[in-house]
Amino acid sequence: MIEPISLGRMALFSDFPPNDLEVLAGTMREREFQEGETIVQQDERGRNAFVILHGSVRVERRVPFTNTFATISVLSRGAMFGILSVLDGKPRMASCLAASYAVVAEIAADDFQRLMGSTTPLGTRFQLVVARTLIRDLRRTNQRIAELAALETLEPALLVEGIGSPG
Amino acid sequence: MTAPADLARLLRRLPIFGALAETEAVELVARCSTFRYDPGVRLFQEGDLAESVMVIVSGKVDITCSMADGPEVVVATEGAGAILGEMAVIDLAPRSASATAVEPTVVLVIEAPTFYDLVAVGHPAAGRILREVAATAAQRIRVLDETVDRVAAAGVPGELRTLSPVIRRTLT
Repeated sequence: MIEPISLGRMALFSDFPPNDLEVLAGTMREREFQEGETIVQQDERGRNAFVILHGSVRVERRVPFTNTFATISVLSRGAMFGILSVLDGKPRMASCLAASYAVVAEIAADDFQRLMGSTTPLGTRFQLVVARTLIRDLRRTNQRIAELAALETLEPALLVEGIGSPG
Repeated sequence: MTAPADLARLLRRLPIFGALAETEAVELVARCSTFRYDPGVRLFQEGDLAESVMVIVSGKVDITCSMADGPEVVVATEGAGAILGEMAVIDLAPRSASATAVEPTVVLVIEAPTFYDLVAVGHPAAGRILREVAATAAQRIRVLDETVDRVAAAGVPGELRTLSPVIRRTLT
């Protein structure tokens, strides 16, 4: 059970009216993860998207042609993740693991898609949150690419760091 | 100046606003202003705070990026129907590129506070822009990701050099 008021305290949803927070909380399920547990697995199908309620989550990607992993980012309370593959139906771009004991709000792909297609004020606000999250991922990734482009040669591990979206 | 009814009709011919009802398009136009730019005049400047979303009604606009090691480069030329500047308004970031009229150009301007009012009431124009932006951002993230994997295989970052400025067009 997710408290609407705890969603409203996060910057992501701070301008949602109480009624909309209640509806949104009603579509979400609270899940707990112990440190090190996998929440999202790279290359799998996206069945859920998440918002961190407590703790932090590490995002990592496999370095191409190796068996090693590079950290893309560490997300904390109020961050949304796992939305990319839910949105475009392609495999997860990265893995997301609990970096500490973590509590997340989980929203199923079909509920997520319903909100993305909705023309209600709640749907439109939700679309704003999703669009903003993805633009920031794109901006961060592109900034990183501009830095890498200035280099003469590249180590694969260096390439993966900071690139992409959490899931 | 283009009459409001003509502007509304024109908006509904754009793919992004094609699903708007006539009354919704008229309402959108009523909340916006139109501006005319002479050739050579900047619509917005890289690094500026994003204050509006712009729809090109007529004319042509060059999108340019400043580069670390030289003059500005043109990364795109946009004409009637193109939307400019929506991403920076949505993620509250500075403009990632500049826009300059290269022909006499008329744009419909949705000021940022108006855009957020449209979101709050669930106006379909806001929803259309947001869904389009989410899909575009997702697609570009995938492209960057695939490119990085290709570049990792080659070990040479040449392909990245041309890619990053092109993405900055999207991020205006």
